[in-house]
Amino acid sequence: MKTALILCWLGTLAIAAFLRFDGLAARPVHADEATGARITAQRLEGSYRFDPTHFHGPTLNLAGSVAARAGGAGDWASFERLPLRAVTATAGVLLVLVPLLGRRRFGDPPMLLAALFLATSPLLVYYSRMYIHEMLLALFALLALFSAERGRAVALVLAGGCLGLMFATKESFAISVLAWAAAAAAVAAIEPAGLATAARWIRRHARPLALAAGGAALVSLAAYTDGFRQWSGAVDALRTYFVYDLSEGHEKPFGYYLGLMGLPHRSGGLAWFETPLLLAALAGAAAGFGPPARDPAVRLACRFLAFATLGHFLIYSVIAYKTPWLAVVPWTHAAVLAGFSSCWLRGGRVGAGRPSRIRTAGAVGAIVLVAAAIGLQFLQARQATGIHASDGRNPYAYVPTSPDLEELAPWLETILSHSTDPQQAAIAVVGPEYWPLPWYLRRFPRVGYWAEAPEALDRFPLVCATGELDLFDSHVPLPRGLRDGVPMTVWVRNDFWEASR
Amino acid sequence: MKHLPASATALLGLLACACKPSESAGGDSSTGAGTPGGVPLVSELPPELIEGTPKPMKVPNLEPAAKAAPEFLVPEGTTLLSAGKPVTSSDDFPLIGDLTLVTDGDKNAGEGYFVELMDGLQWVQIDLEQSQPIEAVWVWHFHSQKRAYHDVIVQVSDDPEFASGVTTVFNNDYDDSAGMGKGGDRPYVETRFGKVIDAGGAKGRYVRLYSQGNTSNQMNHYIEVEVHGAPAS
Repeated sequence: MKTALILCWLGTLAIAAFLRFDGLAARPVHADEATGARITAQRLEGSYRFDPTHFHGPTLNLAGSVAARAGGAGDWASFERLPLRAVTATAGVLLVLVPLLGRRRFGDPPMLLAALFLATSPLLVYYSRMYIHEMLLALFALLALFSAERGRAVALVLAGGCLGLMFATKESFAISVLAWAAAAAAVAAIEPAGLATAARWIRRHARPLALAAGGAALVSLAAYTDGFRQWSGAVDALRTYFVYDLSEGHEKPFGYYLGLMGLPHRSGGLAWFETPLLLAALAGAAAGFGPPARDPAVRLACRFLAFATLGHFLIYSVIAYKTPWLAVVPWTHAAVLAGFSSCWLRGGRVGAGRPSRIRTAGAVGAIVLVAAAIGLQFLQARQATGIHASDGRNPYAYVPTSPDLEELAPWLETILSHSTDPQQAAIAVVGPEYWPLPWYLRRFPRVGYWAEAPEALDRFPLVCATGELDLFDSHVPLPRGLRDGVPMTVWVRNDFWEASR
Repeated sequence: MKHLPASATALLGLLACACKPSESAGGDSSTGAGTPGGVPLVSELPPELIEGTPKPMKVPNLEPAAKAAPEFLVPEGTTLLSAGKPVTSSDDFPLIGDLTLVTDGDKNAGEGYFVELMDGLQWVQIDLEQSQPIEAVWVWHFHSQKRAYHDVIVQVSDDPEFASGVTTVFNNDYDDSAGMGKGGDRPYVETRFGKVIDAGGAKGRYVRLYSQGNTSNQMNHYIEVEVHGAPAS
């Protein structure tokens, strides 16, 4: 039995790693990955300063700079995407292993099932493969929960450290703290004498809780002040909650996340759904109120996770600014809750009171359903990260980059090779919202970026324009992809165009 | 938005460089290249601004150029030859839709009206069932989004394998990425008005249209293809 369990955990780990690392560098670089990489390069080059108005906390670029340096990068031009994405992919794999911490308390079946849901969720797989903050935030959040759940002093201090890392990763950690506090209050309120018990527990653990708070403050302070060297970062870490700039254009209706994660939908002829995980999470929530709740640990965990998941989704749904990656932390909670659906099988609770034949059939049916759900998730994850990884019809591929850009640099190099001095030939980028273009042009020595057309634009051999320009007398316009539904025009000066033909 | 440090900008410079004279077609290297024999113009280039997540574009086609269907004159008596004619493709199992959509006469843009072929260089081929002179090919790849298709190449032949007797009537593969030779036609952005291609009376039974992905994704799409010409006597 023990060997079988070890094999199951290893198999789950293998699935998680395969889904996250297979072809990791293939997808075009997303605009947010490109800006994240640029900020990471600033850290590597010594010019990074935390910006409270945008771009979130420093842990991502801190980890990314270590990975980039390990990958041989020394400056922006030498950056590669694989080391950067390896940071979040590794976080995604570690996330899957976090339920191991709950084995003793809850047993292997719910934790293993939670790990399987975490390993195969298309949303979690997709954003493990993208160099943005969400997977680090989800990892620290789940580590904080599982550490806190153990209740011991050392574990509480570790949970505090994880909270500090969450704070240093993204300001939306406050949403998690709020959702957790509300969930804990709700659980205590419906438990008999729950509030009094909670108050006693807090009094008994006052010292480790204070240490945990101190640990959280210390970790986040170290991150925001760049190792206690830039003290303005400490103020900016708090100021960010008042000055953060939410860019326009991402407002969506209240039910966006329910539609994205809960309901099957078709997009461009492709079917997308994570409904099985949601159904399993509902079964997990029900376990907190049904016969499995006779086990106090299961009852408290299921109820807390159910309220915390609901709280997260409610808060994120109320906020008008919505992107699919903001569902990562709430969905991580849902996946763990889904693991507790297995508690209905424990002790023959499926079909309890029925003849044993029916109970066995019920258990087998439930296992088949769960296997089918995991299998479907696996296939969806492969679909989301394979050929449709940067396709606008993929619901996770938000504002995806056109695959066109992958071939842009070699083509521009070919054109500039006709210059009398290719190293000196300049490229102009004109117009708004041109990211991730700077990633793809990072190795060209002379690139300028303008919001409006500068003077003497007609002298540039190459002009990449995201808006409209009138260079018809001097250049040839060629449409190339930038992002989904957003072509740009590459204007090639007439003499270079003729020479390249 | 934040500027990069000034030290980064100081290294940047603008040089309005010239093209190698020997490689300039027709010796016209002066267009936009500044004063022949002059000195390089140098200036400071602004660095990139780091921006937040770009806004998603879910708007209808915004192509400003085409506000009406293109006007194209053809000999009197020219008719639509391709309606309902059989279509084959390099992709035997389209990802979305089926090949009959290419000649079914429906030019709507939504789901159920287009066929999606896999990524890479792909073609569709219309069998006109007899060899006849073709005046124009009018093609709609996809027009619910602002995008351009790459390596659009249109050929006419009497050989279903296109191994011999091939007439290329359109080729906008400007970098030879399709490996069929560079074309002199300009790339274009899709609109609901489609693209009219002058076939110049090329005679053939089969019309083959190539493409290699588009500016939004790697797939190839066709809503409708119309082949117009004089009916065979």
